[in-house]
Amino acid sequence: MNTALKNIRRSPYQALSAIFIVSLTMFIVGVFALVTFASQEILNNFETKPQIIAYLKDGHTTEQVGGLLSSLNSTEGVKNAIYISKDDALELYKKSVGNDPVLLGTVTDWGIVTADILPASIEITAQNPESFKNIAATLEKSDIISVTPQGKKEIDYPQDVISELTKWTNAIRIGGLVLVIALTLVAILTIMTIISMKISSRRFEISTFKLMGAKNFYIIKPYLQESVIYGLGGAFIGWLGCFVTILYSTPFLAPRIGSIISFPVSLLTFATLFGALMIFGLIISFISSLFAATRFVNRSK
Amino acid sequence: MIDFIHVSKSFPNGDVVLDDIDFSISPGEFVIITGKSGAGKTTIGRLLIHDLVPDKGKIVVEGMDLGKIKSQNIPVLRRKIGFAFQDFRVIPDKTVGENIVVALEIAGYDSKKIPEKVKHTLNMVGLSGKEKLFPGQLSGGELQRASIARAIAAEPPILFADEPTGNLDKETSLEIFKLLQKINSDGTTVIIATHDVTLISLNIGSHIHLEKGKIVKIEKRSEEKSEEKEDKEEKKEANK
Repeated sequence: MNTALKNIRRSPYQALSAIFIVSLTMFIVGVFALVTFASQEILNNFETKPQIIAYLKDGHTTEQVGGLLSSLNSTEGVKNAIYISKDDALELYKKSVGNDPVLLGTVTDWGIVTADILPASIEITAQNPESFKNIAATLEKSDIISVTPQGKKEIDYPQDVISELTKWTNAIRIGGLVLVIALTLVAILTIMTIISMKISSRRFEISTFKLMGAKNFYIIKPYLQESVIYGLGGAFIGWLGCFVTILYSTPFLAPRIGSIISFPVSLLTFATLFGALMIFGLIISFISSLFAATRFVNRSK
Repeated sequence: MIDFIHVSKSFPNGDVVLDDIDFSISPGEFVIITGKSGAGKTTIGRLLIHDLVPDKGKIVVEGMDLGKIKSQNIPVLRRKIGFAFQDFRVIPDKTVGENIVVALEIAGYDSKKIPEKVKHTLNMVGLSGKEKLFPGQLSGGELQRASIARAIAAEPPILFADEPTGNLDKETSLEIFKLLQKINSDGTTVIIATHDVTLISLNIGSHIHLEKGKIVKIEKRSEEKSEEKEDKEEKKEANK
Protein backbone atom coordinates (compact mmCIF):
# COMPACT_ATOMS: atom_id res chain seq x y z
CA MET A 1 0.00 0.00 0.00
CA ASN A 2 2.93 2.32 0.74
CA THR A 3 4.23 1.85 -2.79
CA ALA A 4 0.77 2.60 -4.20
CA LEU A 5 0.52 5.82 -2.16
CA LYS A 6 4.05 6.77 -3.17
CA ASN A 7 3.09 6.25 -6.84
CA ILE A 8 0.11 8.59 -6.37
CA ARG A 9 2.28 11.25 -4.69
CA ARG A 10 4.79 11.03 -7.52
CA SER A 11 2.22 11.92 -10.19
CA PRO A 12 -0.63 13.78 -8.50
CA TYR A 13 -2.11 15.15 -11.72
CA GLN A 14 -2.53 11.69 -13.20
CA ALA A 15 -4.14 10.59 -9.96
CA LEU A 16 -6.44 13.63 -10.02
CA SER A 17 -7.55 12.99 -13.58
CA ALA A 18 -8.26 9.33 -12.79
CA ILE A 19 -10.25 10.20 -9.68
CA PHE A 20 -12.09 12.98 -11.54
CA ILE A 21 -13.22 10.74 -14.38
CA VAL A 22 -14.23 7.94 -11.99
CA SER A 23 -16.11 10.47 -9.82
CA LEU A 24 -17.96 11.81 -12.85
CA THR A 25 -18.85 8.29 -13.97
CA MET A 26 -20.02 7.36 -10.50
CA PHE A 27 -22.04 10.56 -10.17
CA ILE A 28 -23.81 9.89 -13.46
CA VAL A 29 -24.33 6.23 -12.51
CA GLY A 30 -25.76 7.33 -9.15
CA VAL A 31 -28.07 9.95 -10.63
CA PHE A 32 -29.16 7.52 -13.34
CA ALA A 33 -29.90 4.87 -10.73
CA LEU A 34 -31.96 7.30 -8.67
CA VAL A 35 -33.84 8.62 -11.72
CA THR A 36 -34.57 5.07 -12.88
CA PHE A 37 -35.80 4.18 -9.42
CA ALA A 38 -37.95 7.34 -9.24
CA SER A 39 -39.42 6.91 -12.72
CA GLN A 40 -40.25 3.29 -11.93
CA GLU A 41 -41.99 4.46 -8.75
CA ILE A 42 -43.95 7.06 -10.70
CA LEU A 43 -44.95 4.51 -13.30
CA ASN A 44 -45.96 2.02 -10.62
CA ASN A 45 -48.00 4.73 -8.95
CA PHE A 46 -49.91 5.46 -12.15
CA GLU A 47 -50.40 1.80 -12.87
CA THR A 48 -51.76 1.01 -9.41
CA LYS A 49 -54.18 3.92 -9.29
CA PRO A 50 -57.72 3.44 -10.67
CA GLN A 51 -57.03 3.75 -14.31
CA ILE A 52 -60.50 3.79 -15.83
CA ILE A 53 -63.36 5.91 -14.56
CA ALA A 54 -66.83 5.52 -16.05
CA TYR A 55 -69.36 8.19 -14.98
CA LEU A 56 -72.88 6.99 -14.37
CA LYS A 57 -76.19 8.57 -15.33
CA ASP A 58 -78.31 9.92 -12.50
CA GLY A 59 -81.16 7.65 -11.51
CA HIS A 60 -79.36 4.32 -11.91
CA THR A 61 -80.42 1.48 -9.65
CA THR A 62 -78.35 -0.70 -7.35
CA GLU A 63 -79.22 -3.73 -9.47
CA GLN A 64 -77.94 -2.01 -12.61
CA VAL A 65 -74.67 -1.12 -10.86
CA GLY A 66 -74.37 -4.67 -9.49
CA GLY A 67 -74.91 -6.08 -12.97
CA LEU A 68 -72.25 -3.80 -14.45
CA LEU A 69 -69.77 -4.66 -11.68
CA SER A 70 -70.29 -8.40 -12.14
CA SER A 71 -69.87 -8.12 -15.91
CA LEU A 72 -66.68 -6.05 -15.36
CA ASN A 73 -65.30 -8.56 -12.87
CA SER A 74 -65.73 -11.30 -15.46
CA THR A 75 -63.95 -9.18 -18.09
CA GLU A 76 -60.38 -10.21 -18.81
CA GLY A 77 -57.74 -7.79 -17.49
CA VAL A 78 -59.84 -6.28 -14.70
CA LYS A 79 -58.00 -6.28 -11.40
CA ASN A 80 -60.56 -4.41 -9.37
CA ALA A 81 -63.83 -2.50 -9.97
CA ILE A 82 -65.58 -0.38 -7.34
CA TYR A 83 -68.67 1.78 -7.25
CA ILE A 84 -68.22 5.41 -6.17
CA SER A 85 -71.54 6.95 -5.14
CA LYS A 86 -72.27 10.69 -5.26
CA ASP A 87 -71.52 10.94 -1.54
CA ASP A 88 -68.25 9.06 -2.02
CA ALA A 89 -67.41 11.44 -4.86
CA LEU A 90 -67.97 14.44 -2.57
CA GLU A 91 -65.68 12.89 0.06
CA LEU A 92 -63.01 12.32 -2.57
CA TYR A 93 -63.42 15.90 -3.73
CA LYS A 94 -63.06 17.19 -0.20
CA LYS A 95 -59.95 15.09 0.26
CA SER A 96 -58.42 16.38 -2.92
CA VAL A 97 -58.96 20.07 -2.09
CA GLY A 98 -58.26 19.69 1.61
CA ASN A 99 -60.12 21.93 4.02
CA ASP A 100 -59.89 24.98 1.83
CA PRO A 101 -63.22 26.77 2.50
CA VAL A 102 -62.91 28.74 -0.73
CA LEU A 103 -62.62 25.60 -2.86
CA LEU A 104 -65.22 23.78 -0.82
CA GLY A 105 -67.63 26.66 -1.42
CA THR A 106 -66.75 26.97 -5.09
CA VAL A 107 -69.72 28.09 -7.08
CA THR A 108 -69.99 26.13 -10.29
CA ASP A 109 -72.47 26.46 -13.13
CA TRP A 110 -74.67 24.20 -11.10
CA GLY A 111 -74.22 25.98 -7.77
CA ILE A 112 -72.06 25.24 -4.69
CA VAL A 113 -70.32 21.84 -4.82
CA THR A 114 -72.56 19.27 -3.21
CA ALA A 115 -73.04 15.54 -3.60
CA ASP A 116 -75.92 16.17 -5.98
CA ILE A 117 -73.88 17.86 -8.65
CA LEU A 118 -71.13 15.19 -8.63
CA PRO A 119 -71.70 12.10 -10.74
CA ALA A 120 -71.49 8.59 -9.37
CA SER A 121 -68.90 6.45 -11.09
CA ILE A 122 -67.27 3.07 -11.44
CA GLU A 123 -63.48 3.04 -10.90
CA ILE A 124 -61.60 0.18 -12.47
CA THR A 125 -58.01 -0.90 -11.95
CA ALA A 126 -56.62 -2.90 -14.84
CA GLN A 127 -53.98 -5.59 -14.65
CA ASN A 128 -52.04 -3.86 -17.42
CA PRO A 129 -52.53 -0.94 -19.80
CA GLU A 130 -53.13 -3.38 -22.70
CA SER A 131 -56.51 -4.35 -21.14
CA PHE A 132 -57.89 -0.80 -21.26
CA LYS A 133 -59.55 -1.18 -24.63
CA ASN A 134 -61.17 -4.48 -23.66
CA ILE A 135 -62.58 -2.98 -20.45
CA ALA A 136 -63.76 0.15 -22.25
CA ALA A 137 -65.64 -2.06 -24.69
CA THR A 138 -67.55 -3.70 -21.82
CA LEU A 139 -68.41 -0.28 -20.39
CA GLU A 140 -69.59 0.98 -23.79
CA LYS A 141 -72.27 -1.73 -23.81
CA SER A 142 -73.76 -0.56 -20.50
CA ASP A 143 -76.86 1.70 -20.52
CA ILE A 144 -76.14 3.39 -17.17
CA ILE A 145 -72.96 5.10 -18.35
CA SER A 146 -73.42 8.82 -18.77
CA VAL A 147 -73.27 10.22 -22.32
CA THR A 148 -71.61 13.51 -23.36
CA PRO A 149 -73.57 16.09 -25.41
CA GLN A 150 -71.52 14.81 -28.37
CA GLY A 151 -73.06 11.37 -27.85
CA LYS A 152 -69.94 9.70 -26.44
CA LYS A 153 -69.93 7.55 -23.31
CA GLU A 154 -68.16 9.31 -20.43
CA ILE A 155 -65.31 6.89 -19.90
CA ASP A 156 -61.91 8.30 -18.88
CA TYR A 157 -58.82 6.25 -19.16
CA PRO A 158 -55.35 7.71 -19.22
CA GLN A 159 -54.07 5.47 -21.97
CA ASP A 160 -51.97 8.29 -23.39
CA VAL A 161 -50.50 9.32 -20.04
CA ILE A 162 -49.44 5.75 -19.24
CA SER A 163 -48.02 5.04 -22.65
CA GLU A 164 -46.20 8.40 -22.67
CA LEU A 165 -44.82 7.72 -19.23
CA THR A 166 -43.71 4.23 -20.23
CA LYS A 167 -42.08 5.70 -23.32
CA TRP A 168 -40.24 8.31 -21.24
CA THR A 169 -39.18 5.78 -18.62
CA ASN A 170 -37.79 3.50 -21.30
CA ALA A 171 -36.05 6.42 -23.01
CA ILE A 172 -34.47 7.48 -19.70
CA ARG A 173 -33.37 3.90 -19.05
CA ILE A 174 -31.84 3.42 -22.50
CA GLY A 175 -30.29 6.90 -22.62
CA GLY A 176 -28.92 6.55 -19.12
CA LEU A 177 -27.59 3.09 -19.82
CA VAL A 178 -25.79 4.27 -22.97
CA LEU A 179 -24.31 7.20 -21.02
CA VAL A 180 -23.23 4.95 -18.16
CA ILE A 181 -21.65 2.41 -20.53
CA ALA A 182 -19.82 5.17 -22.40
CA LEU A 183 -18.56 6.80 -19.21
CA THR A 184 -17.57 3.44 -17.74
CA LEU A 185 -15.50 2.71 -20.85
CA VAL A 186 -13.89 6.15 -20.59
CA ALA A 187 -13.09 5.54 -16.91
CA ILE A 188 -11.65 2.08 -17.66
CA LEU A 189 -9.54 3.44 -20.53
CA THR A 190 -8.33 6.37 -18.41
CA ILE A 191 -7.24 4.12 -15.55
CA MET A 192 -5.68 1.68 -18.01
CA THR A 193 -3.73 4.47 -19.71
CA ILE A 194 -2.52 5.95 -16.42
CA ILE A 195 -1.50 2.58 -15.00
CA SER A 196 0.18 1.60 -18.29
CA MET A 197 2.13 4.88 -18.28
CA LYS A 198 3.21 4.33 -14.69
CA ILE A 199 4.25 0.75 -15.30
CA SER A 200 6.05 1.74 -18.47
CA SER A 201 7.99 4.44 -16.62
CA ARG A 202 9.08 1.84 -14.07
CA ARG A 203 10.18 -0.74 -16.64
CA PHE A 204 13.69 -0.92 -15.16
CA GLU A 205 12.36 -1.63 -11.68
CA ILE A 206 9.92 -4.26 -12.95
CA SER A 207 12.54 -6.10 -15.02
CA THR A 208 14.88 -6.04 -11.99
CA PHE A 209 12.14 -7.52 -9.80
CA LYS A 210 11.53 -10.24 -12.38
CA LEU A 211 15.25 -11.07 -12.54
CA MET A 212 15.22 -11.30 -8.75
CA GLY A 213 12.48 -13.92 -8.96
CA ALA A 214 9.41 -11.84 -8.20
CA LYS A 215 6.06 -13.37 -9.08
CA ASN A 216 3.82 -11.36 -11.38
CA PHE A 217 1.38 -10.66 -8.57
CA TYR A 218 4.12 -9.12 -6.40
CA ILE A 219 4.93 -6.74 -9.27
CA ILE A 220 1.39 -5.75 -10.18
CA LYS A 221 0.06 -5.51 -6.60
CA PRO A 222 1.02 -1.84 -6.02
CA TYR A 223 -0.59 -0.86 -9.34
CA LEU A 224 -3.78 -2.74 -8.48
CA GLN A 225 -3.85 -1.02 -5.09
CA GLU A 226 -3.28 2.38 -6.70
CA SER A 227 -6.07 1.77 -9.17
CA VAL A 228 -8.43 0.59 -6.43
CA ILE A 229 -7.70 3.85 -4.57
CA TYR A 230 -8.81 5.72 -7.71
CA GLY A 231 -11.92 3.54 -8.00
CA LEU A 232 -12.99 3.83 -4.39
CA GLY A 233 -12.02 7.50 -4.10
CA GLY A 234 -13.92 8.32 -7.29
CA ALA A 235 -16.94 6.29 -6.16
CA PHE A 236 -17.02 8.11 -2.83
CA ILE A 237 -16.83 11.55 -4.47
CA GLY A 238 -19.48 10.51 -7.04
CA TRP A 239 -21.75 9.33 -4.24
CA LEU A 240 -21.14 12.55 -2.31
CA GLY A 241 -22.14 14.45 -5.47
CA CYS A 242 -25.39 12.48 -5.67
CA PHE A 243 -26.07 13.02 -1.97
CA VAL A 244 -25.57 16.80 -2.20
CA THR A 245 -27.57 17.04 -5.44
CA ILE A 246 -30.54 15.21 -3.94
CA LEU A 247 -30.26 17.19 -0.73
CA TYR A 248 -30.39 20.52 -2.56
CA SER A 249 -33.05 19.47 -5.06
CA THR A 250 -35.39 18.10 -2.37
CA PRO A 251 -37.20 21.47 -1.88
CA PHE A 252 -37.83 21.53 -5.63
CA LEU A 253 -38.83 17.88 -6.04
CA ALA A 254 -40.86 17.33 -2.87
CA PRO A 255 -43.90 19.46 -3.86
CA ARG A 256 -43.94 17.98 -7.35
CA ILE A 257 -43.48 14.24 -6.81
CA GLY A 258 -43.67 14.10 -3.03
CA SER A 259 -46.98 12.24 -3.12
CA ILE A 260 -45.35 9.43 -5.10
CA ILE A 261 -41.82 9.30 -3.70
CA SER A 262 -41.19 10.07 -0.07
CA PHE A 263 -38.89 12.99 0.68
CA PRO A 264 -36.32 13.41 2.12
CA VAL A 265 -34.76 10.35 0.45
CA SER A 266 -34.13 7.71 3.11
CA LEU A 267 -30.70 7.00 4.53
CA LEU A 268 -31.15 3.38 3.49
CA THR A 269 -31.44 4.48 -0.14
CA PHE A 270 -28.25 6.52 0.18
CA ALA A 271 -26.48 3.66 1.96
CA THR A 272 -27.52 1.23 -0.77
CA LEU A 273 -26.33 3.68 -3.42
CA PHE A 274 -23.03 4.09 -1.54
CA GLY A 275 -22.46 0.33 -1.41
CA ALA A 276 -23.40 -0.15 -5.07
CA LEU A 277 -21.13 2.68 -6.28
CA MET A 278 -18.22 1.44 -4.15
CA ILE A 279 -18.57 -2.06 -5.58
CA PHE A 280 -18.89 -0.68 -9.11
CA GLY A 281 -15.81 1.56 -8.58
CA LEU A 282 -13.85 -1.37 -7.20
CA ILE A 283 -14.77 -3.60 -10.13
CA ILE A 284 -13.94 -1.14 -12.91
CA SER A 285 -10.67 -0.03 -11.31
CA PHE A 286 -9.58 -3.58 -10.58
CA ILE A 287 -10.40 -4.85 -14.06
CA SER A 288 -8.73 -1.96 -15.87
CA SER A 289 -5.51 -2.07 -13.85
CA LEU A 290 -5.33 -5.85 -13.90
CA PHE A 291 -5.61 -5.79 -17.67
CA ALA A 292 -3.00 -3.05 -18.08
CA ALA A 293 -0.54 -4.48 -15.56
CA THR A 294 -0.82 -8.13 -16.60
CA ARG A 295 -0.39 -7.22 -20.23
CA PHE A 296 2.82 -5.32 -19.48
CA VAL A 297 4.29 -7.76 -16.98
CA ASN A 298 3.67 -10.74 -19.25
CA ARG A 299 5.49 -8.95 -22.01
CA SER A 300 8.59 -8.17 -19.93
CA LYS A 301 10.99 -11.04 -19.21
CA MET B 1 25.15 -28.13 -8.29
CA ILE B 2 25.38 -26.24 -11.58
CA ASP B 3 25.99 -28.04 -14.86
CA PHE B 4 26.59 -26.42 -18.20
CA ILE B 5 26.62 -29.25 -20.75
CA HIS B 6 27.86 -28.32 -24.24
CA VAL B 7 26.05 -25.00 -24.14
CA SER B 8 26.14 -22.66 -27.13
CA LYS B 9 24.51 -19.29 -27.51
CA SER B 10 24.53 -16.79 -30.31
CA PHE B 11 22.69 -13.51 -30.68
CA PRO B 12 20.21 -12.68 -33.45
CA ASN B 13 22.91 -10.75 -35.35
CA GLY B 14 24.84 -14.02 -35.67
CA ASP B 15 27.54 -13.26 -33.07
CA VAL B 16 28.49 -16.45 -31.23
CA VAL B 17 28.69 -15.56 -27.53
CA LEU B 18 29.20 -19.02 -26.08
CA ASP B 19 30.55 -21.93 -28.07
CA ASP B 20 30.16 -25.43 -26.67
CA ILE B 21 30.72 -24.48 -23.02
CA ASP B 22 30.98 -27.42 -20.65
CA PHE B 23 31.64 -27.12 -16.92
CA SER B 24 30.12 -27.91 -13.57
CA ILE B 25 30.20 -26.13 -10.22
CA SER B 26 29.79 -27.97 -6.92
CA PRO B 27 27.75 -26.62 -4.02
CA GLY B 28 29.76 -24.21 -1.87
CA GLU B 29 32.41 -23.70 -4.56
CA PHE B 30 34.08 -20.35 -5.18
CA VAL B 31 34.46 -19.83 -8.92
CA ILE B 32 35.99 -16.96 -10.81
CA ILE B 33 35.09 -16.69 -14.48
CA THR B 34 37.48 -14.42 -16.32
CA GLY B 35 37.70 -13.15 -19.83
CA LYS B 36 37.75 -9.94 -21.81
CA SER B 37 34.62 -7.92 -22.43
CA GLY B 38 32.36 -9.87 -24.78
CA ALA B 39 33.94 -13.20 -23.86
CA GLY B 40 30.54 -14.47 -22.62
CA LYS B 41 30.86 -14.11 -18.82
CA THR B 42 27.62 -12.15 -18.35
CA THR B 43 25.83 -14.46 -20.79
CA ILE B 44 26.63 -17.39 -18.49
CA GLY B 45 24.94 -15.49 -15.64
CA ARG B 46 21.93 -14.63 -17.76
CA LEU B 47 21.61 -18.25 -18.87
CA LEU B 48 21.82 -19.28 -15.24
CA ILE B 49 18.75 -17.23 -14.31
CA HIS B 50 16.92 -18.12 -17.54
CA ASP B 51 17.07 -14.55 -18.76
CA LEU B 52 18.51 -16.08 -21.91
CA VAL B 53 17.89 -19.50 -23.40
CA PRO B 54 20.75 -21.50 -24.94
CA ASP B 55 20.66 -22.44 -28.61
CA LYS B 56 22.25 -25.80 -27.87
CA GLY B 57 23.17 -27.80 -24.81
CA LYS B 58 21.72 -28.33 -21.38
CA ILE B 59 21.87 -26.32 -18.17
CA VAL B 60 20.98 -27.86 -14.82
CA VAL B 61 20.77 -25.70 -11.69
CA GLU B 62 19.97 -27.23 -8.31
CA GLY B 63 18.40 -30.20 -10.07
CA MET B 64 16.28 -28.05 -12.38
CA ASP B 65 16.77 -28.67 -16.10
CA LEU B 66 16.40 -25.15 -17.49
CA GLY B 67 15.47 -26.49 -20.92
CA LYS B 68 12.36 -28.05 -19.43
CA ILE B 69 11.54 -25.44 -16.81
CA LYS B 70 7.93 -24.25 -16.77
CA SER B 71 7.31 -20.51 -16.85
CA GLN B 72 5.76 -20.55 -13.36
CA ASN B 73 8.98 -22.11 -12.01
CA ILE B 74 11.29 -19.42 -13.40
CA PRO B 75 10.77 -17.15 -10.32
CA VAL B 76 11.56 -20.19 -8.13
CA LEU B 77 14.84 -20.70 -10.00
CA ARG B 78 15.72 -17.00 -9.80
CA ARG B 79 15.14 -16.95 -6.06
CA LYS B 80 17.80 -19.65 -5.75
CA ILE B 81 20.38 -17.39 -7.38
CA GLY B 82 21.34 -14.05 -5.89
CA PHE B 83 22.47 -11.88 -8.77
CA ALA B 84 24.73 -8.89 -8.20
CA PHE B 85 24.39 -7.09 -11.51
CA GLN B 86 27.21 -5.37 -13.34
CA ASP B 87 25.19 -2.13 -13.40
CA PHE B 88 24.04 -2.80 -9.79
CA ARG B 89 20.34 -2.43 -10.71
CA VAL B 90 19.54 -1.03 -7.29
CA ILE B 91 16.22 0.82 -7.43
CA PRO B 92 17.22 4.50 -7.38
CA ASP B 93 14.17 5.84 -5.55
CA LYS B 94 14.28 3.24 -2.82
CA THR B 95 16.70 3.46 0.07
CA VAL B 96 19.39 0.85 0.59
CA GLY B 97 17.18 -0.73 3.25
CA GLU B 98 14.11 -0.72 1.00
CA ASN B 99 16.09 -2.38 -1.80
CA ILE B 100 16.93 -5.21 0.56
CA VAL B 101 13.33 -5.36 1.80
CA VAL B 102 12.23 -5.96 -1.80
CA ALA B 103 14.56 -8.96 -2.09
CA LEU B 104 13.25 -10.38 1.17
CA GLU B 105 9.61 -9.81 0.21
CA ILE B 106 10.20 -11.52 -3.13
CA ALA B 107 11.73 -14.46 -1.27
CA GLY B 108 8.60 -14.61 0.87
CA TYR B 109 10.14 -13.63 4.19
CA ASP B 110 7.88 -13.05 7.15
CA SER B 111 7.33 -9.26 7.29
CA LYS B 112 8.01 -9.22 11.04
CA LYS B 113 11.46 -10.71 10.54
CA ILE B 114 12.43 -8.40 7.67
CA PRO B 115 13.76 -5.38 9.68
CA GLU B 116 16.11 -7.58 11.68
CA LYS B 117 17.25 -9.39 8.54
CA VAL B 118 17.94 -6.08 6.75
CA LYS B 119 20.06 -4.92 9.67
CA HIS B 120 21.96 -8.20 9.73
CA THR B 121 22.62 -8.14 5.98
CA LEU B 122 23.81 -4.53 5.98
CA ASN B 123 26.09 -5.32 8.88
CA MET B 124 27.47 -8.30 7.00
CA VAL B 125 28.39 -6.24 3.91
CA GLY B 126 29.72 -3.33 5.97
CA LEU B 127 26.89 -0.90 5.29
CA SER B 128 25.60 -0.52 8.84
CA GLY B 129 23.94 2.84 9.40
CA LYS B 130 23.42 3.43 5.66
CA GLU B 131 19.99 1.81 5.57
CA LYS B 132 18.15 5.07 4.96
CA LEU B 133 20.50 6.40 2.27
CA PHE B 134 19.45 6.42 -1.37
CA PRO B 135 21.70 4.77 -3.98
CA GLY B 136 22.62 8.20 -5.32
CA GLN B 137 24.17 9.04 -1.97
CA LEU B 138 26.54 6.05 -2.00
CA SER B 139 30.06 5.67 -3.35
CA GLY B 140 30.86 3.11 -6.05
CA GLY B 141 32.14 0.59 -3.52
CA GLU B 142 29.12 1.10 -1.26
CA LEU B 143 26.80 0.71 -4.21
CA GLN B 144 28.47 -2.58 -5.05
CA ARG B 145 28.08 -3.70 -1.44
CA ALA B 146 24.40 -2.68 -1.53
CA SER B 147 23.94 -4.71 -4.70
CA ILE B 148 25.62 -7.72 -3.07
CA ALA B 149 23.58 -7.21 0.10
CA ARG B 150 20.36 -7.35 -1.89
CA ALA B 151 21.55 -10.47 -3.72
CA ILE B 152 22.44 -12.38 -0.54
CA ALA B 153 19.76 -11.03 1.81
CA ALA B 154 17.42 -13.97 1.29
CA GLU B 155 20.31 -16.43 1.65
CA PRO B 156 20.16 -18.00 -1.81
CA PRO B 157 22.38 -21.06 -2.26
CA ILE B 158 24.11 -19.44 -5.24
CA LEU B 159 25.50 -15.92 -5.72
CA PHE B 160 26.48 -14.70 -9.16
CA ALA B 161 28.44 -11.45 -9.03
CA ASP B 162 28.87 -9.84 -12.43
CA GLU B 163 31.98 -7.63 -12.52
CA PRO B 164 31.80 -6.89 -8.80
CA THR B 165 35.08 -5.00 -8.87
CA GLY B 166 34.58 -3.17 -12.15
CA ASN B 167 35.31 0.57 -11.91
CA LEU B 168 36.50 0.24 -8.32
CA ASP B 169 39.94 1.12 -7.01
CA LYS B 170 42.29 -1.70 -6.05
CA GLU B 171 41.73 -1.36 -2.33
CA THR B 172 37.92 -1.35 -2.62
CA SER B 173 38.08 -4.23 -5.10
CA LEU B 174 39.99 -6.27 -2.56
CA GLU B 175 37.43 -5.45 0.14
CA ILE B 176 34.59 -6.59 -2.12
CA PHE B 177 36.52 -9.72 -2.96
CA LYS B 178 37.01 -10.47 0.71
CA LEU B 179 33.31 -9.91 1.30
CA LEU B 180 32.49 -12.46 -1.40
CA GLN B 181 34.92 -14.88 0.19
CA LYS B 182 33.19 -14.35 3.52
CA ILE B 183 29.81 -15.09 1.92
CA ASN B 184 31.28 -18.23 0.37
CA SER B 185 32.72 -19.33 3.70
CA ASP B 186 29.12 -19.45 4.99
CA GLY B 187 28.33 -22.13 2.40
CA THR B 188 27.01 -20.07 -0.51
CA THR B 189 28.23 -21.03 -3.96
CA VAL B 190 29.86 -17.88 -5.29
CA ILE B 191 30.47 -17.28 -8.97
CA ILE B 192 32.36 -14.14 -9.94
CA ALA B 193 32.44 -12.97 -13.53
CA THR B 194 35.28 -10.50 -13.94
CA HIS B 195 37.79 -9.15 -16.40
CA ASP B 196 40.07 -8.25 -13.46
CA VAL B 197 42.77 -10.90 -13.73
CA THR B 198 44.54 -9.61 -10.63
CA LEU B 199 41.93 -11.51 -8.58
CA ILE B 200 43.32 -14.75 -10.01
CA SER B 201 46.71 -13.95 -8.58
CA LEU B 202 45.16 -14.23 -5.12
CA ASN B 203 44.91 -17.94 -5.92
CA ILE B 204 41.50 -18.40 -4.36
CA GLY B 205 38.79 -20.68 -5.72
CA SER B 206 38.33 -22.35 -9.06
CA HIS B 207 39.02 -20.48 -12.25
CA ILE B 208 37.35 -20.64 -15.64
CA HIS B 209 38.84 -18.53 -18.37
CA LEU B 210 36.86 -17.65 -21.47
CA GLU B 211 38.05 -16.37 -24.80
CA LYS B 212 35.65 -15.53 -27.61
CA GLY B 213 32.94 -17.69 -26.07
CA LYS B 214 35.12 -20.74 -25.53
CA ILE B 215 36.56 -22.10 -22.32
CA VAL B 216 40.31 -22.04 -22.67
CA LYS B 217 41.20 -22.93 -19.10
CA ILE B 218 39.58 -24.58 -16.09
CA GLU B 219 41.41 -24.78 -12.77
CA LYS B 220 39.55 -26.58 -10.00
CA ARG B 221 40.54 -26.00 -6.41
CA SER B 222 41.33 -28.89 -4.14
CA GLU B 223 38.63 -31.43 -3.34
CA GLU B 224 39.57 -31.11 0.29
CA LYS B 225 38.42 -27.47 0.36
CA SER B 226 35.21 -28.34 -1.43
CA GLU B 227 34.37 -30.91 1.15
CA GLU B 228 35.05 -28.37 3.88
CA LYS B 229 32.54 -26.00 2.23
CA GLU B 230 29.96 -28.75 1.89
CA ASP B 231 30.18 -29.33 5.62
CA LYS B 232 29.60 -25.60 6.22
CA GLU B 233 26.66 -25.60 3.85
CA GLU B 234 25.10 -28.51 5.66
CA LYS B 235 25.52 -26.63 8.93
CA LYS B 236 23.91 -23.54 7.34
CA GLU B 237 20.95 -25.58 6.15
CA ALA B 238 20.58 -27.03 9.62
CA ASN B 239 20.60 -23.49 11.11
CA LYS B 240 17.78 -22.37 8.77
